[in-house]
Amino acid sequence: MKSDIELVLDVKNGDRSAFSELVQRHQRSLLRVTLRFTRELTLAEDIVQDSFIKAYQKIHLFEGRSSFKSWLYQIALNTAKNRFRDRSREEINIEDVYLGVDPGAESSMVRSDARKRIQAEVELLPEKQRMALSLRVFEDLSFKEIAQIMDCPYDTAKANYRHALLKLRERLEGEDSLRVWEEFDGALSLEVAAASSDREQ
Amino acid sequence: MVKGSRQQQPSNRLFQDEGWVDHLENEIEANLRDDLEILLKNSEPDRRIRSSLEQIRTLVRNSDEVVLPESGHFYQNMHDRIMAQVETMPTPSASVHRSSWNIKALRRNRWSRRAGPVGVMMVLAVMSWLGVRSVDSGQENQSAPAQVAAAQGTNKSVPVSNERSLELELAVVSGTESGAFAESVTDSVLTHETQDDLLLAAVDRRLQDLSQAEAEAVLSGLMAN
Repeated sequence: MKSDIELVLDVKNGDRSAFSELVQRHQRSLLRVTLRFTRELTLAEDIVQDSFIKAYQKIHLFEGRSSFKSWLYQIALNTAKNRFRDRSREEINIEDVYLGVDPGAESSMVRSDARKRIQAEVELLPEKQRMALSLRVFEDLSFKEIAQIMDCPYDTAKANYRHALLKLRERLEGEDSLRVWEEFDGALSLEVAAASSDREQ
Repeated sequence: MVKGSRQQQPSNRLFQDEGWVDHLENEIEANLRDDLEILLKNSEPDRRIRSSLEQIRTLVRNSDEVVLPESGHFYQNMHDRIMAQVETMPTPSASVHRSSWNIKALRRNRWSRRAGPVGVMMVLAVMSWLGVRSVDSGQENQSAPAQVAAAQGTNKSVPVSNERSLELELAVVSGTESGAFAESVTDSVLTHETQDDLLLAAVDRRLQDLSQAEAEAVLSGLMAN
């Protein structure tokens, strides 16, 4: 199997099938990271398509100083930012948050509340901190890759991540109603003590 | 050396929170890692902060709300839409063409658009006259062949190549020259697509040889036409 760099060279030499391979390889992860920021599937699809087209148009400028994936992510996030440039930052309506909760799962309501709470706090983070946190925690990217995508120094990417995690800890730890349980069946259960006591009443 | 190990932090932690984030992410230098392991074993406050950071991280990760479509058709369709657009685009390496940039730069020159082919021919004629004048001052007002003869007599080299190549270009443009000469000229202007572009390139080269005052005089004369 060819590496991304080899495929890029083939594309530069006029081999469109090599670009097809790159699309198949990265479209899913690109859609995931874009969807995380847009929260709308149709919009995320558009951005992913635009990003791949831009990548093809500019592929002769790609010199391999970063990974192809990082370069692609950078294009996608910049494209997403441009789409959102004129939109003011809307307050998160947690009812609109699309949750991937299995309705049959035990304590699904509890987990749903907890997810909403945590996601709301993540959304309140400054953009660069939120981006660094998302790319690290959800995409498992290295700080070097995060720095390339965010077009900032390595230490800045790390600092943004640190601040994000510490800020979340400060906000969530201060909530008396939240207690953290051990990981259970691949999902972390949170007991919202105040909510459960309300239901009992 | 663990930072702050000799100082008591307000929460009795011996290591800064930022450092524990780095430890959680395996971003700690190797020589510090062992010290921190010892610290974790012996300092309850530091153990608590390290543990809570890990839990927050896990909380965030497991709260991921993004659920991607699972259908293979979805991704196949997206791929096909992308490739359909890519098929209509030129290959990236061929899209950058320096000669076409040069032509575009020349086309942007307003005077050449206004002048048109006839005006450009007049400019070439003027430059031809200016080209003769640029030969050594002692040989002014002589025809080119006379200059060559004089130069040969004095063993001086004479710049006839500029004038000759100008003649060739004029001949090609006017269509009076054919065969080898035309071919030799066109070889040097292969990047040009039309006769107009050939004229523009010739004129541009001549302009570059002129002084500022001479170029302005030519252009103002052209504008008057």
